[in-house]
Amino acid sequence: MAYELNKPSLIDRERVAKLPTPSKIFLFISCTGSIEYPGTEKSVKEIAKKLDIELVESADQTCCTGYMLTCNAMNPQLALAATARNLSIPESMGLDVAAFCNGCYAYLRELKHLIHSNPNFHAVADQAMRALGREFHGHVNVYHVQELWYRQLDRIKSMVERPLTGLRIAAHYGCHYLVNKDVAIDDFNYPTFIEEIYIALGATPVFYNERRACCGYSVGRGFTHREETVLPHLAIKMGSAAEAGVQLMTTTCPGCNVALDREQPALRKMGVNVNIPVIDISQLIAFALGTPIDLLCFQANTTPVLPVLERFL
Amino acid sequence: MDIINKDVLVIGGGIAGMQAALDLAASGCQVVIAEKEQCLGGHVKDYTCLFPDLSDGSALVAQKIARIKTYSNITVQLATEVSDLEAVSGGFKATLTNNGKAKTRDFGAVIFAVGYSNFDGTKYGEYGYGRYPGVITGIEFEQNIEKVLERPIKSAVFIKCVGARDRSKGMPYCSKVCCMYTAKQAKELKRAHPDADVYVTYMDIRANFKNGEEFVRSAMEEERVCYIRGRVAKVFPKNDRLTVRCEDTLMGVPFELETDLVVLATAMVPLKSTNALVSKVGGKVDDNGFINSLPLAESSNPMEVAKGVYYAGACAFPCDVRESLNQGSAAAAGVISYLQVSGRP
Repeated sequence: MAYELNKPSLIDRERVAKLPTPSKIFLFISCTGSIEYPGTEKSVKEIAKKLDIELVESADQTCCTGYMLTCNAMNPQLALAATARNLSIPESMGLDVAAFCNGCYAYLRELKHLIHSNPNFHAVADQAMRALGREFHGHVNVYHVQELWYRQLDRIKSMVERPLTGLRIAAHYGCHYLVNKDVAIDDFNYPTFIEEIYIALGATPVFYNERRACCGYSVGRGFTHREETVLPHLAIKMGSAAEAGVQLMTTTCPGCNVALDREQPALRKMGVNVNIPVIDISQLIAFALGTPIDLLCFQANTTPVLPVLERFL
Repeated sequence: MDIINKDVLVIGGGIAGMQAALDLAASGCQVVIAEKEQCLGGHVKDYTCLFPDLSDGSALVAQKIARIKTYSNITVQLATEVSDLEAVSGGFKATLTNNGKAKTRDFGAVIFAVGYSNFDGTKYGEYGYGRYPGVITGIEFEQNIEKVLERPIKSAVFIKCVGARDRSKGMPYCSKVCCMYTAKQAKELKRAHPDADVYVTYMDIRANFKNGEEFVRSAMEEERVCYIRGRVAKVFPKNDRLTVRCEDTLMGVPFELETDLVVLATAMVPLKSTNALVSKVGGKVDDNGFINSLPLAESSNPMEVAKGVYYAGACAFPCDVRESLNQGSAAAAGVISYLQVSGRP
């Protein structure tokens, strides 16, 4: 793969500089994330501790409803009400929001935008807020932890305790963060900021040909509920990764993590020779920063992680 | 014929500016061409194979330069930028900067012929421009046409509308000339390598020039360039070549092919900061940064931008060589009428 990291980087450095380094932020919990891979949520908290970021949660928070919107499982207006309600919580605390799921991030942002730009949708949200006795004015910024971590990459680099020397990692960026072209810090088609994170942690980034292929979660586990429809596509993607000698993959979305991790036994049955553990970027960073293994909850992964990472312990 | 003794400033010594200067000088005007590069000729001096008759742009430019030299009333100022422009009573004050030295001069009329620049291909991360050596732009093809045709290629893929007709990267307009020069480039490549597979991937084919449609047809039917309607999704390296992933939307079939050369027809983009000078003298710039002419019913000459200010060429919108020449002459006619009329007691 003839790529060099110093060739045109499309990272928007101005946008990166404008990202906050908050001392306190509201952590939006992802249901898919915390149920499927509890280690992701724990890793986010461990990294925040090391970066002196106070994370505030609320048991009052509900699912972002993005997944159910994709599955057409409910009246879509419910998503507007849920978004207004969820965001009214950090708004009442005067806090911005950090999500660790691409889906939560994209849906919170898009639904917030729809509420404020479409009078009909605004009316739906208003009605729901009144019925609940709450207020939502839209003064909340939504971030994803991947950009907040990248913003403080130098600090993270200085705290690395387990340098990942020689580890060949491939980044799966997914779709729902980069597609927000008005705020995403990198290019949708050829992003490189996560590879820069890998280098800061001492690892070797791998650019395999199907790096930007979608994980297929929304199709397979979303609106068709037939994972087999996505398997031929995943076979091409994961086959390409295996061919390139990828040892580990990271994601920024629990949906992507489920799709890429949990389908591997089915792929092997199809004849694809793949056995690549897939973890969240926060788990990788937390690991490199010396977080105790049991907090990373690798036992939740279908494709075993420790065989690849234990040599760095 | 009485021409007021006022100088005319032509900003830009490309094909449009040179044509304007020649027509002005032939009518007796005193003309100053301010050209920011070290020589006249703009972009066209590098194009040796203009559609549809495959004439030589550099020869055309040389001819214009030779004619300019015969006029003592044309002053050419090279390596000179117009750093400021002001409307004053009786005309304009322009600050011409050369080698850091600025000089302000009076002019009776101004023609903007500042041309264009090219869309930055690296913005399309999926095509690998600037990353993979086999990916070049259409302009680079033009400027190095002999070297490109010498390359031992077995396959080439042209991608049109790169940077144009694409709101997500910021340029909503059609860059007008790319369909024609892509057809020309594909033909030339096939002539140099008759056994190579040459593909042009398109959203549309806009051949609305004299002999344009026939030209594109001949590329398909005589040179057998394969035109595929579809947008290339991705270009990536594989097996020491480049793989192009695309969809043939007329057949409804996605496909992949291995190729040696990918040519991106990048859009012509306006020189925003230079064009913005028109607003200092009553002119307007559109949302894309191109110079706007006055509405037709408000002006006596179609090239009029504001009182005493005219435009010619790609600074107002992408156009081909012939159109640039047309506009250069039209702008000159506008200035001549303006100076004569404004000089009447």
